[in-house]
Amino acid sequence: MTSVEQLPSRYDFQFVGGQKNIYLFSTEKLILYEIQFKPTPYLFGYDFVLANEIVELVINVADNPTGRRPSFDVLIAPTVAAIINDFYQRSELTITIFICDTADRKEEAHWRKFNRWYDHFAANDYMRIDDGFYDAEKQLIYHCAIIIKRANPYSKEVSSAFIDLMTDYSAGK
Amino acid sequence: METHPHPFITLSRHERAVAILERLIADKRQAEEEIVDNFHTDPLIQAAVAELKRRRDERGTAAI
Repeated sequence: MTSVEQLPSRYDFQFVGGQKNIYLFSTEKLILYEIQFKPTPYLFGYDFVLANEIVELVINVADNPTGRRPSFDVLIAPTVAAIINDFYQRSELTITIFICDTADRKEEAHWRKFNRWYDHFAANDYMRIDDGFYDAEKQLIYHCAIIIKRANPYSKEVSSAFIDLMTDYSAGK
Repeated sequence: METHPHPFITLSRHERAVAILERLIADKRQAEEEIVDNFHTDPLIQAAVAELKRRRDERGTAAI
């Protein structure tokens, strides 16, 4: 039997923890990324049954010694997916919200990037609900998504709360 | 039992949704700024970076 050399599947990462549930990983070009699962208990109101399990996913470059804009790196998406997976293994009831920023007017590119990360998930284990809201004043669409484990016993409550929030937003338009 | 009143309780449902989503975006931007600042100042981050570097040097690559 011939042995097949396994190609690298993702970058190594380190769980730092803390209030913001921080993870770090470094790329081959030594670009350091930080991922936070920042507690967001106010999202559906503090009285929501899983308020303390709601986190906002934040991903940013912490250090970039190359001095150049990070280029596409095929190992980043599986690394982000693995980190999200790892976090859900620590806390199965986690509700993650991801919102696409628009500050740089590249919201569509950010959204595609998020979709790439999500594509590396074991999707059968997770449920994702997408929506978006339009800021007429700034003429921008904010894409957002909620991710929960399918096994979450409160998945219906989470879905309803998210849909209600987005409906309430649109109701005044 | 201590209760936490909703911070946007006096607003209409629409205003409340707007306020929540705006806060979400503001929080995200603040977190992104802090990530850059904390890299240089947070000893926990520095320790984690050192550990990642140690393992990378051991393997000879950042990938696994």
